[in-house]
Amino acid sequence: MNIFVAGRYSTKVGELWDLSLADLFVEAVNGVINQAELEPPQIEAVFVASKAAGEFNHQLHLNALVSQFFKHQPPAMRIEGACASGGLALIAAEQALLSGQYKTVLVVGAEKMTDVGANRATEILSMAASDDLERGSTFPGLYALLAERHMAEFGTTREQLSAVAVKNHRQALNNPLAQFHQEFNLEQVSCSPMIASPLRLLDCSPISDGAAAVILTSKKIKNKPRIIGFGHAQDSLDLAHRRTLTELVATKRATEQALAMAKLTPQEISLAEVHDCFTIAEIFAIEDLGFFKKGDGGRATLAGETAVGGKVVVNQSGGLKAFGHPIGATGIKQLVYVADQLEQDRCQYGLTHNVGGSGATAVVHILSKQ
Amino acid sequence: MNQIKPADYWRQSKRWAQWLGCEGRVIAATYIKVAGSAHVLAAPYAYVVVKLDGVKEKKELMGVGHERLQTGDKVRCVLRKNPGLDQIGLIEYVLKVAKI
Amino acid sequence: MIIKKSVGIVSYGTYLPHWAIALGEIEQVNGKEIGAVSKSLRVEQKTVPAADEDTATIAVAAAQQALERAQQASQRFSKSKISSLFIGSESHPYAVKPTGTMVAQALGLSEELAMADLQFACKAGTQGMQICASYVLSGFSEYGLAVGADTAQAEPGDALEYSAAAGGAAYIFGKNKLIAKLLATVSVATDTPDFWRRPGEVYPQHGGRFTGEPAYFYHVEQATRLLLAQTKLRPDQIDYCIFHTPNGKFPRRVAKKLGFTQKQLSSSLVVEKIGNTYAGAVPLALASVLDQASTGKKILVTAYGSGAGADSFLFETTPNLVQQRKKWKNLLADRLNSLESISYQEYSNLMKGRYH
Repeated sequence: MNIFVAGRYSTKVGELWDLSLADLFVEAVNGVINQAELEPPQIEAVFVASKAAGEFNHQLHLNALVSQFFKHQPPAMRIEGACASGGLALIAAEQALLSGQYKTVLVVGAEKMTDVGANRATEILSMAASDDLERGSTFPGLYALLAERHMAEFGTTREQLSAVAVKNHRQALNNPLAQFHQEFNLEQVSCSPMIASPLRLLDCSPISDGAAAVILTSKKIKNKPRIIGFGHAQDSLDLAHRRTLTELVATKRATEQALAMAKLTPQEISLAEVHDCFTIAEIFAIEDLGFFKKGDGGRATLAGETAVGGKVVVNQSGGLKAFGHPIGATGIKQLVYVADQLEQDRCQYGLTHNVGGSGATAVVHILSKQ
Repeated sequence: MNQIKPADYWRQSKRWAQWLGCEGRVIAATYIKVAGSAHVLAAPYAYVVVKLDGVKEKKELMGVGHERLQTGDKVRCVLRKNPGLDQIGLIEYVLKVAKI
Repeated sequence: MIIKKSVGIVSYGTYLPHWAIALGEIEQVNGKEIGAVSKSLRVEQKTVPAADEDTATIAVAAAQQALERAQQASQRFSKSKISSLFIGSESHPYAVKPTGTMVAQALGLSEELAMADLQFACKAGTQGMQICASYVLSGFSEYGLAVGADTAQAEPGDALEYSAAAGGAAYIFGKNKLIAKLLATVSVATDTPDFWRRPGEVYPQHGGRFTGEPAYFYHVEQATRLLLAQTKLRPDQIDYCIFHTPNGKFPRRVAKKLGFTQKQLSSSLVVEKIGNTYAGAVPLALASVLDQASTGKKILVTAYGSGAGADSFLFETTPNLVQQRKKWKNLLADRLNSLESISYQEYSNLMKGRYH
C-alpha cells in the first residue's frame, strides 16, 4: 500500500474572530497546496470534514463550497462522524486512492464554533449523542459517566485525571499553533469548576475555531511520511447499549486493524496524538490503544510515562485539550502534526486516534517515516 | 426557543406508559451542572445509566429535580416536565428516575 | 341525594412534592413576627413543587399509585376498563389542551375514554369524583378515575403566599370490591365572587374577608346541612368529618358550627403539614382519613370551591379497606415524613422559574 502525505497544513487554533468558516477552509486549502509544492489542478478530488457547520454556521453543502476554490472544481464530498469527521474523511480518501479511482486527493476539515454562546454550543455538541435515547445528556456528562465507572472499577484518581491536562498544557507550550499557551498545576485542574461530576472545566477540551488539511497521494514521493495502517470501527451510539463502560471497544477494534495493516505492535510506536476531548478520554485511549494495561492509564500518566521522555509521548502537540478541538479539523490536524514530526526525524512511527461521540466511532492511523 | 415539535412529542408520549413505574438500579451516575440550552432550567440534575428490573436493555435517564443519584441507588421511573421559559410551545414531558 | 345502588371508591393514591417551606421563612422575609401567621392560619409549612413538576405530573403520580393498589387488590381489575377520567385543578398546564389526555397517555389507559378537564377552584377535584361516581352508577363506565391536583400560585407578599401549595390525590370509582361505599352526595353553587383569576394572569385575586362568611362558610354549611337532611343523620352519628382546608382555621370553625367535634375532624388536617393544595386539598384530606379508618366508619366530606360552590359526600368504609391497606406502601404519613425543608431563597428561585 502506498499512501504518502504529500502536503500538510494546520491553521492556528483558538477563538479566531476575524475568520469565518469559509476563511478557515481557504487558508487550509491554500496552505496545504503551497506546502506540498503542487499545482491546484493536481488535486483530483476533495474530502471535506465538518461536524456541525449546519448548526454553528447555518452552512451545509460544504463539498461544493470547497470545490469552488479550485478553477477545475474537482469532485468533492462532505463526511460527518461527529468528532471523528476528520478521521473518517481520511478513511474515505484512502479508500478512494486504494481503489485506483484517484491518485492525489485533498482532505480538509474545519470547524467555526465560537460564534454561538456556550449553552448553544453545548446543545450542538450533544447532537453527537442519541437524541432519542440520551435526552438530557451533555457531551461532558457522557464522558463523566465513563470517568465515574473507570474511577470506581480501577481506582483512577482525581489527580491522575488532572495529570493529563497538566501534561498537555505543558507540551502545548512548544506548539505555536496551539489554542492555549498556559500551564496549570494539578491543584488548579482539580479545583476548577464542576461541569458534570467528576469532570471539571479543566478536564474538558475547549470550544475552538480551526482548520487542517493534508494531500494524500498514491504516487511514490521521496522524503514524505507514509500512511502504513489505518483502522475504522463502530460501537453503539448510546452508552446504554455498550457492552462495557470502562473500555472504548471501537478504539480497540480500530487499533487492531491499523496494527495488522502496519504489521506493528503498540510498543514499537513512540509518538501518539490521541483523542483527549476530556482528560478521562486520554486515559481510556492509552489503554485501549494497547500502550498500557486496562486500568493502568491513570497511574502511567501521573508517573510521566506519556510525557516527553516517556515510554510513548502522548499528545505532544497539546492534544485536543491544549492544542484545541475544532471538531471537523481535529482528526486531520492530528495527522498533520505526526507527519510533521516524522519529517523532522523525531520518531520512526507515529499514531493518530480520532473518536466520534462518546466512543461510537473510532479511527486510528499509523504513519512511518518514508 | 427550544420547542418540542408536535409529532416528536406524540411519538415520545407513546412510550411513557411502558416505562412508568418500572424500578431498577443505577449503574453509572454523574451530576450535570452545565446543561445544553434545552435543559438549562432543569440544571443541575443527575444523569444516570440504569438497569431496570426484568428488562435486558439498560437506559439512560435524567434524575428528577435536583436529586443527586449514585451508582447502586434503587430508582423508579416517573414522568416529569422539562422546565422552560417558553410560554407558547408545547410542554415537553420526560421520563426520569427518582430515588426509592 | 341518597344512592341506592353500589358505587364507591375502589382505590386511591396520593402524591406530594419532596420539598416544603416553613411558614417562618416566609414570615421573616415579609417582616412579620415569626410564628404569627402560622399560628393564625394553623399551618406550619407548605409543599413546594420542583421545577420539573406540574399539575399533570402530580396527577400522573397520584393516579399511578391508585392503579397499582387496584391491581394489587384484584386480578379482575384492569386499567383498560377505566373509561372516564376527570381532572380538577386551578393550575392546568394549558388553557386549551386537557391535562387528562397527557395523564391518560402516561398511564396507558384505553383510548375509549370520556374525558374533560374541570375548573371550579378547590372543588374541581371532588366534582370530578362525583362525575365519575355518576358515570359508574349510570353504567357509562365500569371504572372512573378522578384526580384533584394543583401547583397553586400566589403573589409574593400576598396573604395567600403562606398557604398556596402543591399536591394531589386520585380516586378510582367502581361498583364492586369497594373500600369505601358512596352513600349520598349533593352539590351547591352560587355566583359568589370571593376568588378569581382572569386568563393570562399568573396570580389570582381574592376578596379578603369576603372569602369567609359569604363564601366558604355559607357554601360548606349549606351543602353539609342538605346532605345531613337528605340522609337523616346527625353529626354524632358520623365518625369522621372532612371540610375543605384553605388553612387549619376554617375547617375547625365550620366543624364546630355544624356540630362536629374536633376529634371527628383531626385526622383530616394534613393542611398543617402541607398547606392548601387547592383542588388536591379535600382529596388529600380524605386520603389521610382512609389511611387510618377502620371498617364500617361513616365519613362526611365537604369540599369548597371559590366562585362559589361545595360538594358534599357521605362514604362508609368496608372490610376491603383494612384488608388491602396492609399491603400498601407510601401512605400519606410516609410522604409527610420524607418532606425536606428548603429556605426562602431556594423557594423564591423555584417560584420565579415557574411564573417569571
